[in-house]
Amino acid sequence: MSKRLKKKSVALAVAVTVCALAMGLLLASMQTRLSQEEYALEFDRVAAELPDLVKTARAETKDNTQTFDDLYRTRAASIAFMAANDAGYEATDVKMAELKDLLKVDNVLVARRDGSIIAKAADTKADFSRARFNQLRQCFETGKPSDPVEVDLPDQDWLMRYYAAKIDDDTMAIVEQNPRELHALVKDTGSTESMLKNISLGSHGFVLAVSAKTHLITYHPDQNMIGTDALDNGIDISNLEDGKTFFTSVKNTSLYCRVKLVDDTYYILAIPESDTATARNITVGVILFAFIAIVAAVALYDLFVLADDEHSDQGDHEYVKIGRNLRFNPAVGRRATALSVAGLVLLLAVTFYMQTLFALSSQATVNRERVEQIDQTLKNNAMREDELTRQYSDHYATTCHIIAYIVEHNPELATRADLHSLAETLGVESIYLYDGDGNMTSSSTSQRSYSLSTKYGDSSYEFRSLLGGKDEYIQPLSINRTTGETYQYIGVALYDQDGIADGIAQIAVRPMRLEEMLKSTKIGVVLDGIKAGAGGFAFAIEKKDGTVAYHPNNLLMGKKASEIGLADEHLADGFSDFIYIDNQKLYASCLETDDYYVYVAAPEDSFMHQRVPLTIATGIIAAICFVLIYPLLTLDTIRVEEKRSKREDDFTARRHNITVTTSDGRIKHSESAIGRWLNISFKWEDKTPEQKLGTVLRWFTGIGVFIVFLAVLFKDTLFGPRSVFTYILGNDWQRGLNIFALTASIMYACVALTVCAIAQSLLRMLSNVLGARGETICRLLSSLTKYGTLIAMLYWCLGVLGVDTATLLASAGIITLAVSFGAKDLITDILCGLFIIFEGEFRVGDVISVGGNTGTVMEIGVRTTKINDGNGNVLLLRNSSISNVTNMTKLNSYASMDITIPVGESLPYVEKVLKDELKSVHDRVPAIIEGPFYKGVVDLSSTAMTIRVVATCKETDRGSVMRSLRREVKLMLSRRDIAPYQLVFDHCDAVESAPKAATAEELAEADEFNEEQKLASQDLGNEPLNQ
Amino acid sequence: MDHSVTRRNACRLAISATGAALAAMLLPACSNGNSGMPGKGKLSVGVRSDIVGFSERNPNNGKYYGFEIDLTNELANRLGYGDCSFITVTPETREEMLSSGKVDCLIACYSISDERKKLFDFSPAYYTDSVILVVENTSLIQSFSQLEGGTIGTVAGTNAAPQLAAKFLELGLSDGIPRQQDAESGSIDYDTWHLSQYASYAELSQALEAGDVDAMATDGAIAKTYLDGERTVLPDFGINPQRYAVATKKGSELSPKIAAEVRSMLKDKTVDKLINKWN
Repeated sequence: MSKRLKKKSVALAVAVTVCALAMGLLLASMQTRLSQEEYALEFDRVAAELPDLVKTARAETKDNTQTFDDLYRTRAASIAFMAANDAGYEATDVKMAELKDLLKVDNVLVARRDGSIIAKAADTKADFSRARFNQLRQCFETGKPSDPVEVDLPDQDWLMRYYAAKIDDDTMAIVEQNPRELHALVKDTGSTESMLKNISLGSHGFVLAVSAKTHLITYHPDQNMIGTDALDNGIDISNLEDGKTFFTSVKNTSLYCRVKLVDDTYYILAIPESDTATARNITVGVILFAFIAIVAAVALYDLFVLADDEHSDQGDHEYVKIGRNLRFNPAVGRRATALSVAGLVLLLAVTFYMQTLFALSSQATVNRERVEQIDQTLKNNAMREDELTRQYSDHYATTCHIIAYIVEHNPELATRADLHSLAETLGVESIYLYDGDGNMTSSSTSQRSYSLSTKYGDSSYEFRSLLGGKDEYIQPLSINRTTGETYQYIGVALYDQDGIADGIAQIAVRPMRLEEMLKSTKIGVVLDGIKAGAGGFAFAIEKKDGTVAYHPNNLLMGKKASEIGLADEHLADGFSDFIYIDNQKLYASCLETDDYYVYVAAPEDSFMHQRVPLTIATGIIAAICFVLIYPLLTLDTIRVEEKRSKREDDFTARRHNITVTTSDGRIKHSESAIGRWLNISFKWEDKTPEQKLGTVLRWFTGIGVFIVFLAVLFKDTLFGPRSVFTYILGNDWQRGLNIFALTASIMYACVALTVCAIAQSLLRMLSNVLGARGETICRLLSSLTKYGTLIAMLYWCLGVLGVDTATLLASAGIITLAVSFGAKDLITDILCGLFIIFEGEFRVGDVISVGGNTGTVMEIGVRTTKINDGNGNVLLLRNSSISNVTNMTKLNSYASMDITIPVGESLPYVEKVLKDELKSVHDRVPAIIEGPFYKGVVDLSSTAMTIRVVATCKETDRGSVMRSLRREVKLMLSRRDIAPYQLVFDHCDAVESAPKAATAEELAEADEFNEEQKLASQDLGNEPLNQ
Repeated sequence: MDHSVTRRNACRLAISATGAALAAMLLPACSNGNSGMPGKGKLSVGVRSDIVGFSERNPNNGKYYGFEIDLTNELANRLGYGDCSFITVTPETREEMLSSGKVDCLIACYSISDERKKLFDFSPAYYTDSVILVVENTSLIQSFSQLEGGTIGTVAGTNAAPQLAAKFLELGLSDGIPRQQDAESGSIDYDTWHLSQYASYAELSQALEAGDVDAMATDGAIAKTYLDGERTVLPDFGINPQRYAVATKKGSELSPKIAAEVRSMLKDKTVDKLINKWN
């Protein structure tokens, strides 16, 4: 390589490095900026939602407390009612204990206004004389049950809520109840935790709450973090400012955060960097790798061309002068342009593919996470629904029992007016009383008569069971068809003095709070808040009738799934692919629950919009890089004419390359068949620029494939559990022609190729060590590995891409049948190949003769056997057609030569000469193992006799031994003045002196020349005909 | 108990204290977790551990937070100390801690009074507070006069008790003569009201929750800790503004320095800024 070229290479290397660096930086920053923009949108959305959420949580707490208090106030009021209506009330401890059980409260007391206790069911820690309980005494002023007083002293194990109702001017009934249930409900629905844990933020994002004053974390998804100092966890104090966006690292997780200050709490919206960062790095990495490979290939190819030009003589005349000192090399320019354009197109394709993959996989992750979240919420809701219904039923049953108790103790209260005031006191909608026959005796409403149905299956029929020994019956919630209001009917048996059921007390309640709470567990409410990235949403399909149960677009509600564009195959758990709904292309993930198919969907434009600009930007950067490198490649300074030493080093003609002239007159170099098949590695210098480029490209591909292989192998350590690549390799995506299937196919193909290549090189190494048979088997195994891998890979990938593999197998059977006649030969070939190998008919390296073709066995393949005929021609013989093989690899072969001597010569003399000289021939031709021997006269004619000389030698040496023998015999005969063959003299003008015998010097010179030529031509003219 | 400030705090201190050049010298000391520069030493400060917004110790990490803590850091920083160590004091122990030299100074909601001035040196006041009364909402008490006949709780060792007596006297609700005194529990019966004394604010707060006392008398600063949605401050009561100041040993060489620094902090509004931050 000349100095100029070296300089140029260095300049190019620098240029390529700079381009790669620039590309990497630009790509990384572009990608980061875009995802940050996306995060910022998410942040804005959640930050805007937060104040409302806080408000809602507070309202929820207030409502729940109100409901709880109302319930226990009515309990206190019911005691007052009993006292006022003479319904079994007595101010004794025993009575209080009875009431306590009836009311299902923790304690029931009767106290005077000054706080002294008249009767109690159990001891209390409270001293009602204290001002602390003044609020209870309010019932005397208002006449209504008082507001609660709660004492919360965990140190003294004292957590109680107190409710009072006025009995008379100096006495009040006090109910003591532990508000455990209320606190749990508040924690579930109104706490910071309940509020924040359901916020969905990007993929895997979460919200943590930090006290603005103490900087303690008051909420974090990780329980262990709650109560720790935010500053200790790596959040900088300067970042704790409303609206600030920053990066931080908490517990080794890099977080992208936004702060939102609501009241006294900083809500930090955090999105972990790592997951998307990995995907992003891989995307950038792959694009960068492709870019480097392409730029390097362009630069290297042109360098190869230049280097090649330097070696050959052509050169100067091709240049075009530009300016005074520069010249343009059109040959290189043409090639560089062609390669650059092709490379650019390839790069655009790779970028587009990777960006699609990146966008889609991010969306898939988000969808998956939302689906999991919905699943969790629905499950929690189902549990909460049950729990709530049970709690409320219990409470209402207790109320019903109280009514039954009152009515039993004072039957005179069974009038409409009294029942009405009782219903009001206890906060129930209406009260109905039935006699032992199930006929209504009185009610708190205007309804006069009603009979419980005797028909099994009617809703009121069940209440008859109360007359048959059942104590209480709680009817499930029922919704009034006309008003849409929820009602619940509860019945309790009334007993006579003997304890025999002789009537029913029934109440109707409107559990409004329950109704409201149950509403919040409905699918629509759950799905309403779900956002999957920008523009994403959730919808649900009812399983029973296949209609849309919820969709943000109200017009679609209630329509059939098929009407909005969902096919049956879309209605499956785990489905994740594109669907068309309402003429919108959505990427949707499906979850199957007990009642619904829930979908989380995002419109394609919402997450794919980055793809095209990113691809174009990458293309533009790449184009700029190519433009920068182009002049470096093609332009050259006009050099001072320097004497070029022709063929500077040991540059030799490219022996293994043949020159092909194509139809349009261009000359191309191509590798000979033998070179291709024998994997002859030739010297780098021997290669044409195209071959060098091929090698370079193979390296790049090899590196790429190997990297993918490593990535797949170490996927667990390389990608996080929630990474998109884990998702791709996890095979959870939808089968079919989609990008995940495609990527997985490519990745697994890379693994298979690497394994296959490793196995093949291992086999090749082995075959070098093993003998001929070993080599044969190794070569066979190698081709089996290759074909096996290819077929298995193809089959698997087709399966992944959505081709039904079972059908494929079946169709493979049919195809086999259909082409069995055609494939018959193939099968025969393979079988024959196996027999050849296992019977050892011949091996690699044997010289065989098959049907007139003779040559050295190069390779025994599965289908064909390759034979080198000794002249560089490769015979491809189908294994099935290899019959009647002559394996000429004998232990020793022999060379036979006939000499024709005119009959005039004396045979005995000739034989004597042979006797004297044959020994020396043996010495002069080392390839002869034994002999030569005189075989005798093999032909006799009127003019000549033919004698034969034979010698043993190796089969491979036979040709040369025969040639040597002929030469030796001629020399020998000439020495003895015996003329082989008939000498015919047509005329003899002058008597010429007989040819002199060769001098010793001449002989030595001839011998030397002979040896030299033999060596030089050892690979030429070896076909049997030329022997 | 000795709770040294964190490295972060120390570093922050060091940096702001003496400018970048000196900070560069100090930094290695900080990163080693050393207690500052030789010769400079630590300023040991008696602080409260239970007063939200002023000085609260987080049991999770053993660190202190609040207005007084920030003030202390700033003060130590201005005095040129490399570090300061916080030592928890209570109203009972703080005077003894200071006089015995266990702490260099007190920054612990410690108010200036003539009696105390005889014992200790005081800097200018950095915060003015008054004794207030906190009642439970459910007691329906809305004015001071409703407390007639009730029980008021205070923490032993605070100024509140005599001031309350004076207030009752001033309003003409009581003759101000203690009828019965229980030395052990510290409770005093007056003609129209009753005084109960508790060892700590936490106990006092519990007594209020249980109803044993009808109102708790505390310094305004301290009240915040124990206020929640269920409690209110009586609006028509507030006695004897108390001025919190840094207390040092009588005649200590620190006294004039601290006084000067507090004065300068008051002047350049540093104190105001800190108060705003924690309010």
